Amino acid sequence: MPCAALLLLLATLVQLAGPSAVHAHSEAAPAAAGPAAASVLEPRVEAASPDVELLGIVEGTRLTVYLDHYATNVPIDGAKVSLERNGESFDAQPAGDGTYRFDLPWLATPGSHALLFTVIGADLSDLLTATLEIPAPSGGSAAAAGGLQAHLSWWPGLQPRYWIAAVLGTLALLAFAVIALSSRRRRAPTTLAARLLLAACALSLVERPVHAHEAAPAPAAGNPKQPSRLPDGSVFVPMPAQRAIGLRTQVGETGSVALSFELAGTVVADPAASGLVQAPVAGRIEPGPAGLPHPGQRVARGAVLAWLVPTVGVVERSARQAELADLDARIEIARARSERYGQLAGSIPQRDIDAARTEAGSLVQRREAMAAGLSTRIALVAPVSGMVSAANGASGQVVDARDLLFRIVDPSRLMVEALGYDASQAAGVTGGSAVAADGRAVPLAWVGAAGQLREQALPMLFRVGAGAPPLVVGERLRVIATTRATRTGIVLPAASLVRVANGETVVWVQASAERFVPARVAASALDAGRVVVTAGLQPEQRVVTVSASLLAQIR
Amino acid sequence: MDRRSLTIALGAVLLHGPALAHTSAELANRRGPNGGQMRATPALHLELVARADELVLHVYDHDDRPVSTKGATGRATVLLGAERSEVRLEPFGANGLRATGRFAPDPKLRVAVTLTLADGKPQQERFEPFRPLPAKK
Repeated sequence: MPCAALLLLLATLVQLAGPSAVHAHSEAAPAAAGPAAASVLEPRVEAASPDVELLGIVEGTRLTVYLDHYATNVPIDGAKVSLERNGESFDAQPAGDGTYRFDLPWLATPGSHALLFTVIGADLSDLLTATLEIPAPSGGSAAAAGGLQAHLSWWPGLQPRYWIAAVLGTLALLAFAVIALSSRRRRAPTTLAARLLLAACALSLVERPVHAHEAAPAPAAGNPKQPSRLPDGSVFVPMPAQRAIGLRTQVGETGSVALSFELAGTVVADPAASGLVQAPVAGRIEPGPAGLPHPGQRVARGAVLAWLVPTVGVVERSARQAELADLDARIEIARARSERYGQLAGSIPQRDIDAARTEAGSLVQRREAMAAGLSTRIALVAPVSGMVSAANGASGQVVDARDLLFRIVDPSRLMVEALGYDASQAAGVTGGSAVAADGRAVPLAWVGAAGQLREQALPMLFRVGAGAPPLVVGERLRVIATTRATRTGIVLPAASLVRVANGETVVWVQASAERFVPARVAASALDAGRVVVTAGLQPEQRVVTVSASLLAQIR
Repeated sequence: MDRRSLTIALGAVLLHGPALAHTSAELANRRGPNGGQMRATPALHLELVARADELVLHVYDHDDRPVSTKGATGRATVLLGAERSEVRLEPFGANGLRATGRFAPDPKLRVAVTLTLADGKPQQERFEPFRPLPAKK
């Protein structure tokens, strides 16, 4: 018996708890704000088709219609809008920004009006059916009752008469449970209790509401013209406010996308397209033909950036000069001998004549070489074409051998080095993209991973692709590496994900024209601008992509 | 365990299954018995079969049982691009209403039907009779 009692308890709870979603004629059903909502909001009429979403707000005898594209929430401008009621047709006046105005005297008449909207735009045309409920003007007590009902009816199915049914059913259940537990071995009361319970259940079944065309929840308090948060966590954003914040939605594409992971990366220069200019020997810097290069200057390969005059010590210089004087003397002697031998040609061996001439020539060359060593300067040339990224030399500066004077980088050929802490990650990488600190996206092409860990991390190298924004060497990037593995999910712009106060990630789903519901999702970055939602979202749901973070702030 | 009580309890559980009502969204993925687009109003299921020369509206309840259209009246508004026209729907067969005219078989064709059964209030519903079914996922 306790088992049966449990089953029944479960059944009743399910019945009470279920907002009976099967009955909500959500799509294309005019979820016109019912009388409950009317006590706080102006009467509204809502209709949607796969192409067009329409919301009408009644103010006195004026009906303002907001038209937008169903999937994107982009206002439809320049359309011809008319409505038909009981065979009578009315045309709207366009009021700009996707709004249209009707002046309809019969809007003052309370009651239910079946409307047929015709929308003829430049690239679309549609018919929309809707029902507009105009509530009777309410006095003081009626308004109070309306307010109570508005308060209780925030959730479809929790209207007062359902509460009564729920309380009755629960009381019957409790009574049954008590009887059943206290009379396990006595059959008669048990059966009686079961019958009582069956009757109670049948009663509650009869009482069960049919929630076709349930009104969208209305804000319970506060100024209804302001965006507000509803008790169930969703937010109500009036259409004028949506237009003001430029709210846009998107129907996520379901697809199989490449799995990716995030790394921290740094922009580095391509070793083949960057170079250093160093001093080969100790010396003094002299400006090149175009002066000394400054950072940011473009230089061509082979251009002389500066001259280096080698420094020579005082003792070494005097020793060299002594040697030069000695060489001068020897050249004099060798020339004289070569001339004398030339006059004696025929009486001395030709071999001696040649040797004397050669000696004189060799001594002259030796002197030239030595004199050059004392006065020449070395050209410092750009090893690659590119931009000077660092310049350390100043005119007249004395530098040591190997000192770094200039650094040249080709900004169109940069690379990104990312550090992976899981060596197996590099195996399936096929490409990637990066996000700069200011949100700019940088396309990346996979180059390779080092075969060796460096400080416990695996360096992975990417080449910056065409169309990248200007980057500088050393800039930090968030690198998203895509792999060969795939995952099925809904692809959305990264801006649609919002992190809420408790650390969960949500997207805002547009449930009706003015109501947005947060949906907790599991998502991972796909590339710089997109994420893939793998759980928590149904395909064909409209997700807010622009101004999503503003919705989270509505209180 | 009292077997009879268990049976009663199970019966009660089964009786609590939600009443079967459908939404137009649920009906969007299937064709009606006559191959037309199905839509749901609060009280009815409507199927619109469109051909180049006629529109036939079949009326069912939410269990897809035919509903008599004797004495019913109806009106269909047809929109294609900027071309808007209206046709009268006359009772046709046991549960149908029919209108004749020229209807271009274009996925952009929209039809709004206003139906008044002999005993009821007017009901409105919109159709896209030539829109293809959504692709199977």
